[in-house]
Amino acid sequence: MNARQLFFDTPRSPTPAWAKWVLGLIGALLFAAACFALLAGTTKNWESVWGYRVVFWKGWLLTVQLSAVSLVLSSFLGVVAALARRSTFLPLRGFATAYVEIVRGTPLLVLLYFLFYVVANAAGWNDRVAVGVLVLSLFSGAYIAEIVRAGISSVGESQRESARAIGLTTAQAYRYVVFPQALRNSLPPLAGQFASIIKDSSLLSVVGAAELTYSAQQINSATFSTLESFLPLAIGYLVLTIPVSLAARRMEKHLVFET
Amino acid sequence: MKLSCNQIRKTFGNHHALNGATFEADFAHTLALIGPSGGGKSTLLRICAGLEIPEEGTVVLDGTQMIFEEKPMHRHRLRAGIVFQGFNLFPHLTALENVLLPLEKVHMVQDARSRANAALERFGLGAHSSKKPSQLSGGQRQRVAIARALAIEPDFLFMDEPTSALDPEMTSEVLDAIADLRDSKQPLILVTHEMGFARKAADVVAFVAEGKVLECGPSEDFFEAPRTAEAARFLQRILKY
Repeated sequence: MNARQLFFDTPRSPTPAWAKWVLGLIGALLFAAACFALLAGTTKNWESVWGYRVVFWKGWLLTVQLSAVSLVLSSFLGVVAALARRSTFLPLRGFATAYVEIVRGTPLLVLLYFLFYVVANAAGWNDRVAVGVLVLSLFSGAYIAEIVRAGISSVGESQRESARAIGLTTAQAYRYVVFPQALRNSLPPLAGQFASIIKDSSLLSVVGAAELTYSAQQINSATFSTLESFLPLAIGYLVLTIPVSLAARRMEKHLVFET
Repeated sequence: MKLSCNQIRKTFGNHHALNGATFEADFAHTLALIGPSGGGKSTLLRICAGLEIPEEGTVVLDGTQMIFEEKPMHRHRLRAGIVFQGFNLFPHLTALENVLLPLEKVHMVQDARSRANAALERFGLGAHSSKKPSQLSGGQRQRVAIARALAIEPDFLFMDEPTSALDPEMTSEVLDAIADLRDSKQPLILVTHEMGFARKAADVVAFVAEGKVLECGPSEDFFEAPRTAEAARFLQRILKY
């Protein structure tokens, strides 16, 4: 092993696994030292933040709940919109296309402001969490629609023809031939989108839904402690998103083996 | 088995795949459609199999005139087994599940599993029934496709260049399997580039070129003495090497 190998991992001279671990450890230590140097002078107030742990915990639970509901709702919306975009009935196709394009062209924050303060307000609907979940689902559904649509298109014409040839009806062809393959092809991007739902749910704090980010902001303004409020906040999201992306990577490997 | 086609026309964009194809074939078991590439033989087979709708013309198969609308064509496909050049197995299903799918979901067969196993066994695939298509060789895949088409006990079997995607060794493996079908008296209409096979296994040969059926007759006669100059030239070119 030479010094070059420590920093450059090429197929001809691969870096040994132990060296990668050592390098990673050194990096982590350097990062920790930098953080310490920057933050050592500030006063820590963990005791008073600890007093608000129930608020934090409740916020985290709400984040998990509204992410889970949005995940189900946006998957449903996405599949329906993807199928509608393939419909031969033009008004349906047009409606689905408009939905997907308008939502994908609008920032989530803007969509939230508009649908909560303008539309829901006019309708007299003030349930922050319910409207928030709905907006998040509408937003994510448009992206899932595109993922599902790509997945369906990735199932080739010869597969549809073969389904026709063995006598399946169109609905059966989707059920037994197209969807299973489309789902397999869409799983990795879908997992990425599910992680996005969890992260994007933090924006619901702007309409006052008492989820994780909102709770952290409350704790911050009550205790005047930033690091102690926002570091647990970041960790609270990471413990949700890292398992999702690990699962996505595992699925990707699994798919490579299958095809 | 009798097949008669009258004035069939089919275009794809500007391309006239079939331009008034007309012929009548009376064959015991096997009819082979042969001819140069792009001559229209696959299109003709696909129309007879109920996969393609011609702009004009009539097809009478086994005494029944085909109706070119989606519903009657679907009913027609229920009686037909179709095998494609590219195998077209479902990659997410095992060999057994590929054979089971039409038996269970389309034909509602009671003893589907034993029938599917028997079909795989018949083509020497018993040991491979739980493998996915990606784990099978090209020849094995095509034999699974044939087993899938035959398991439903179709009235007619259609094959569109079943060996074109295979190397010579696998080609003979699949041709052996098709030749065995003769013994079971399974009516078979196929498109093939294997002239030796067409000569040996087919009762009747139809020569398709330039969107027309130029010649149709008993296989032996056709290969001995083709009646049209085009067929003679085709055979000469093909048998040159």
